[in-house]
Amino acid sequence: MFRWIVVRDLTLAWKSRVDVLSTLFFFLIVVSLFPLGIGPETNLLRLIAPGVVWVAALLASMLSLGRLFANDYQDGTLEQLLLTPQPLYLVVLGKVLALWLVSGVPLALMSPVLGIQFGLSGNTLFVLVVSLLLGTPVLALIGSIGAALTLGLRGGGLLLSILVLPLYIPVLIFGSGAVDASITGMGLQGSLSLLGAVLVLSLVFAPWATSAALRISLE
Amino acid sequence: MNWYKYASPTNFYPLAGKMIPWFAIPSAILFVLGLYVGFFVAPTDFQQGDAYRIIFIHVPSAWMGMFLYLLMAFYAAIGWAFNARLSSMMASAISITGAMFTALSLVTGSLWGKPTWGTYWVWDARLTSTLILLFLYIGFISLQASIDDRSRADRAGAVLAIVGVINVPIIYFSVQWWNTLHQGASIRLLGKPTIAPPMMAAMLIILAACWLYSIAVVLVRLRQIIVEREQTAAWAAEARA
Amino acid sequence: MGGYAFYVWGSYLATLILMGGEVVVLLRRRKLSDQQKRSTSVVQGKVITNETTS
Repeated sequence: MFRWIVVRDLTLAWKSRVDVLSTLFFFLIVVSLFPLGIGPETNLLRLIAPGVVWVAALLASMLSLGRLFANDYQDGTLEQLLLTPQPLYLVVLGKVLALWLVSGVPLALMSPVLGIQFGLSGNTLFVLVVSLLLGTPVLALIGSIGAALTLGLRGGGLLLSILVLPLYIPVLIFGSGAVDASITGMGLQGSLSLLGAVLVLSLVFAPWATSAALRISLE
Repeated sequence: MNWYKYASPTNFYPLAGKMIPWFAIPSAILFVLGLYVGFFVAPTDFQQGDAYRIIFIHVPSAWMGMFLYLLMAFYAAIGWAFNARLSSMMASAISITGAMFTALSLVTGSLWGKPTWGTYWVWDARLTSTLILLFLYIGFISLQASIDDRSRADRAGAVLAIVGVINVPIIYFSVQWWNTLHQGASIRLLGKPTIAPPMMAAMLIILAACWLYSIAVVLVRLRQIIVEREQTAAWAAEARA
Repeated sequence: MGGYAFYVWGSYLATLILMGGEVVVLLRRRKLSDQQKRSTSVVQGKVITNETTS
């Protein structure tokens, strides 16, 4: 069941790959706006790079959340999934994993290109990718709760951002903190292991909350 | 007293009406008393001068903002778990007052910050966490406001409040951690006030007044929510008939 | 207030505005729904009969 969900969602994502690509382009464009707004001094850009890239990653993964349940909700598949005897926990986990594979992973892999624009160098670029790979699944997991709660509501997208962005703050702090630490040459184990701890915590709790939210929204 | 009887909104309604003055009047008395102690009994602090008198309202409102969030989540969770409508209505009634106190503690905090730190806003760990707490309240209120089906709004709010409560310690910790990482902001112009007994007394009296105020206001709002929901239920019945 | 009058009074003024504002908004909301109730008069039963006890 779990694998079936993942494969199915990946196939569906492949069919609508324009959506997937536009999330990436959004990420790229938002990050590129900052040097234009602030000015091209390399030292300043290097200083703000971790925060800028991470905030853009937050916004991009928030935008991709709309796809998580909306289509299945509209064509009634979601209702069917709720009625199957399989634990809903696994269904949610599968859908979130598929979402992360098409939004979080490409985003993390693309981030070095943006890091170079901001004057980051070798080791820091690597830390940026690692922190994003650890952080984006948390964003997808927490976001799935918000997506399930706002399912089918008017103004859902805007509401979703109000619900989800405050909950993203720890990820933002630990994620950009890791990149920051690597720039200033401080130990980055602390922030990366905190990010990992948040990931484990959200893996345990978030799918449960999302399942409850789905049951509430579909009743 | 038969508690089950009062778990039903229609039975609780008159009881709440009788309870309100018992909280509202003592609250007003304690506010006056607390302000009297705070302004006429408590001495001027030799470090902060009279600026510290802001904390008589700032600290209680910050505490109220936090406590009311926990209380709101508790009531929302009870309402969801046991399908107790009154409890869910209580959570919605608390949310607005909690957001009000959180906003008040931000305003008074920045007015206290100007003479103490030299600016209205610093990204101090406590101020930042309070700001995020306000965002969490806003999320809860806007989620409930955009769902028309009351039963769904109650339960969706409960999920969000519980997720928020699990997140609050993580947020507080992360902000603390972030603050120690970036040590730029902690410029202190004035030292910490040494807490003299009358200062502590004034703060605690106003804290009690804020509690009583919250209970009174929440009860008024709860009664209002009960009436409004009964009205919509009656209209719906009318439309079906 | 030793030069801090603006901040101290400003804080208590803000308190008055926020708390007082909350009460005013709440009482107006009650008045509004009372008027609606009277004009439509579709609500019967306990809730409306107990309205005078507050």
